[in-house]
Amino acid sequence: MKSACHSSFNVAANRTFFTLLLVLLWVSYANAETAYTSHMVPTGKGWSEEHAYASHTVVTGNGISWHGGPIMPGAAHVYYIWYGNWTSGPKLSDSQTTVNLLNALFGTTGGIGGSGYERINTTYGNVTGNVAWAGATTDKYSQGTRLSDARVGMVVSNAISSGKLPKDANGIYFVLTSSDVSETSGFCSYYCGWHTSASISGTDIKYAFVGNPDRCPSACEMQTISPSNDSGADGMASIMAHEAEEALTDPDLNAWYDSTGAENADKCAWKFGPTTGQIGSGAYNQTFGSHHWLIQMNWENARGGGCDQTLGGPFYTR
Amino acid sequence: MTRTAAFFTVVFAVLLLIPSFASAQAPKPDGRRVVTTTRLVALFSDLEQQWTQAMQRRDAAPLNKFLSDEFELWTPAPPGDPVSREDWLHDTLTASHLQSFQIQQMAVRMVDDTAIVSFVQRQKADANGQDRSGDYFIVDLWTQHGDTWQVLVRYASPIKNPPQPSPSPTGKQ
Repeated sequence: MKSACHSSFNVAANRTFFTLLLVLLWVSYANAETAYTSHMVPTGKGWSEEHAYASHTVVTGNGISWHGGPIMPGAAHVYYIWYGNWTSGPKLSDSQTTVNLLNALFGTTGGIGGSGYERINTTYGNVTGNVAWAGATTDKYSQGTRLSDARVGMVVSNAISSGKLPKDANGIYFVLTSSDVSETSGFCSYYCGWHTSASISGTDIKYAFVGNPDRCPSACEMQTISPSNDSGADGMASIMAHEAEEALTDPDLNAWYDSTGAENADKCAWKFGPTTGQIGSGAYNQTFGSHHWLIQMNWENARGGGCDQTLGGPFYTR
Repeated sequence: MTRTAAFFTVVFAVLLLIPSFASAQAPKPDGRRVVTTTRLVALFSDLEQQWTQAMQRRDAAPLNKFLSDEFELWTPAPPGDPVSREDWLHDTLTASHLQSFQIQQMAVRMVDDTAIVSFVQRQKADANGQDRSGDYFIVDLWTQHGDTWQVLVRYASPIKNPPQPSPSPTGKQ
């Protein structure tokens, strides 16, 4: 009897011990993965290494500060998720014309990437200013017509997990919603777009929301007569440029921003500098992808800091 | 397979499945994002700053310019009547002392030619010897007359237990 009880006790003790050991091993793995996605970047070689923030030169005294977090080094890839009806939506800008225009904006030929405007971001360390369109997919209302922040995240997550878009730690994923889609956390009343990052399938994914501003032109468009005759595309272009340059320089919301929490493009929001033509009548201040655009200025982290239209150009206050 | 081996197989399988399940759910950022505020938020942030700075300076000319002829201030303080334009101007120019202020979390909604502007104002102030410092939730209705905007009515309520300010980008600021 005694030996039977003793044997049962040993079995139970062994079970308990090995269960605890497995749980400890799993917790360690989970924490390592979390630490990996927070600070480490995969090399594709079976190990990871810290993001470039430890190695880039930090320039100070220009009205914006670095807070220790990573930037997006090298060539960044832009992915579009066209959410809603972008062929025949309620507004004229919910159309293939807008799709073509915004494809050209980040296009590899004459697009915004590598331009004097985008190279303003090179003043933030190892940001190259090379950003180009790398792919797109569509999503026909998988999360409904009233998106929350979480549902925007789901749109991105689903596009990656389904294989429609690659999982790219150096990508910026834009969720672009047609004019019949709302975002319930303040689109049109508080904001025109936003950017953030999240761990998706174990990778730190940078993504942004930009809605068709024809849904609320007085809030999210500087002019309803645009240089491309597509006010929605023109309005979106400036917001997308804004989100992209902030994703490059403050992807995880812990890198470059000023004492009020304003990131580089925030400091120049709705400021365009000199334009060709009058604002309100199809004015423009940039040309990308063979099209004219009215794009807000960006904060240059040099020469004391200021908003300009091109790297090294004059600063303007409005 | 022994019972013990079967037991550990099940435990191990469950532990392997948990991360897979977690990755199929919605991504869980820490809730922060950084917004591009609307053109109207930029416009009314500037107007509210100008108006409040005029209060701070006790500068009658711009204060009169910003106030509609029918301006009223509504607060939850007794007796529950609005403060008239005349009384508000008198108090602001003689009895109130606004030492500092910060406007946060502004949102603007347009209804025809009326802008409904809401925000949180954090201030250090006193009036008639009483401390008026703290956070207030304010809603201003602005109406447009040509190129000029004027405040038709202000609703102001103190906020108890306000959230602590964040030094980093949070999105809602």
